[in-house]
Amino acid sequence: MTVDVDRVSVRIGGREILKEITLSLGKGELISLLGPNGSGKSTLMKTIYGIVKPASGGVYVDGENVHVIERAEIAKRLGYLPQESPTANLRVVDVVVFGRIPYSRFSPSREDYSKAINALSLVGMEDYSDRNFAELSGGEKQKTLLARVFCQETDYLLLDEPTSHLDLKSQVEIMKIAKRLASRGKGVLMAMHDINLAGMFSDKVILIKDGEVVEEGSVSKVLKPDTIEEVYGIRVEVVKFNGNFVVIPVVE
Amino acid sequence: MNHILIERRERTVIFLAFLLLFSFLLSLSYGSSGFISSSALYSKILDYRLKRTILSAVVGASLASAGCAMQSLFRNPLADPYIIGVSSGASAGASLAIVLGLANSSISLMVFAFFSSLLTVYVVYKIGGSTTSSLLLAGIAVATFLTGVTSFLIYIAGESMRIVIFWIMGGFWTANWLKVKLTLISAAIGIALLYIFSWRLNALLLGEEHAESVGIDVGRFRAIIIAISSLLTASAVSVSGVIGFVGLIIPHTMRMILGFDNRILIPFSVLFAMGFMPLVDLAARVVFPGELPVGVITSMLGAPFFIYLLRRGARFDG
Repeated sequence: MTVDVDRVSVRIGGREILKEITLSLGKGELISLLGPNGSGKSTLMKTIYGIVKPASGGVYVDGENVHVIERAEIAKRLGYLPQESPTANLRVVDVVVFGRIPYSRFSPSREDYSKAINALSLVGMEDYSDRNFAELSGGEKQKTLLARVFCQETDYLLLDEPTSHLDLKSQVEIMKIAKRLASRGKGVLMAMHDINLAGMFSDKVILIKDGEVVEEGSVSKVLKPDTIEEVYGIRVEVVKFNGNFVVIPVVE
Repeated sequence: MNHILIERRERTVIFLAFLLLFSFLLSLSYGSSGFISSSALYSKILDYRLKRTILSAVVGASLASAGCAMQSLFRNPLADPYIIGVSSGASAGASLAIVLGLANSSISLMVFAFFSSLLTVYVVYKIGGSTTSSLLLAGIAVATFLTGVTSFLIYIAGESMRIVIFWIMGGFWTANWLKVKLTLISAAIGIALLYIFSWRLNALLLGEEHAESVGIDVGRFRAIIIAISSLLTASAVSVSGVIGFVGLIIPHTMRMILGFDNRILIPFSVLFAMGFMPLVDLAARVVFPGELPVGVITSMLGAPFFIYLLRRGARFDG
């Protein structure tokens, strides 16, 4: 049971954004997608979720092509967290319970709300359910949105830069939650900017540049100075610290 | 669940129920012929006032609920029911019908206004329906064009256009039972549908990508909401002309008190509008010798009230 991206190419306005991308995400796996701005990470996320249609190739969730099934059906299988950070004057629990929309017709049931509360406690936000979402900090908002994705009860999660714009503590909290979800059997694919954070928590990393996979595999295999320089265009040193690989840019 | 919020809802619903009762009673018992005790005219006057009262309440409810939907859909506090061209389409259609000599009764005027407004929305949707912002811009462009057309028609047609000018300003003096029945049907269907979709409308407050991510096909959903709102607005405009500001001020006032949740906002706005509009219509009937267009009153009262809300630091954005 996997999400399979099979030789996906995406063209937007005549420009090729993704070129023959192939990857596979299994249950219980946490994979980070790394690459510079404009490398195609977000487009890949959207293509996997089915919002962006590929020019060729296909995306299959447990064998089903996401580009032919209904949006609500995709949302039962893939929990997608967009990069855009939203705000809304709604109660936190009402934001989380949106995760039940694919399963409900018109209005959330009592059971849906108890699932939402449950999801909030998973991210340590159970005391926030009546607070106004618009008044939360960036980290609290992101945790709320993760709870919303979790509330969708999907087997796979696609998180598009979930740690961007957050302080250090919130970044680590988000990564820990993602790791916990993976250890509970979810397949988690994250687009990431922070190489070190990705290296610390991921089972596997994929480096992309200009819409192409440059390198993929274990953290120790991918986080090599030459590979990172090739992708990001900056010289780095990779040191091992407390069992983690740490990438440090070389500043002349 | 938050106790303050529940208490506030309870207090608001009690207040709105009283407002509705007071508004209907006053609107039925008082008018340009004053209070009526018993006379031969009694049942006739009562019948007329009843039609006007119900029609104004239903039109208010239609505009207020469509306003809630449009503000949520566009995530824009300035979005009103007319934003995608319903009113300009109705005005242009009505003017054209009069110039061509096709509309000689208020019923035929209503029919022309109704279909031309729906046609306008269809054209706007065809031009800009791919994204919310292009829809907004297409709505403004088409409305500007049609307003020009209407002004031109009024200019060349002269005296015969008085009826259109009054109609554009909005009012309920042409109320009849057919209009009451038609708007009642469209309002009942439209408001019920908006209520059914109110939870999904809430998800749109987070933005289109987040709405997609919880399984809403935003393109299709937008088309559905626009169709429902246009039905509500077109039927309101075609029976009563262009009554401004109601679709803005009622939802925003309710939002200030009760928050942004459309499941609460839509029914409360409907209730508030049903109490509010007959009172405004009553004012239109009695404050001035003759009769004032209702649209004039809603704009002249609504705008200062809106400014008051703004000055108090009300939050209008999603």
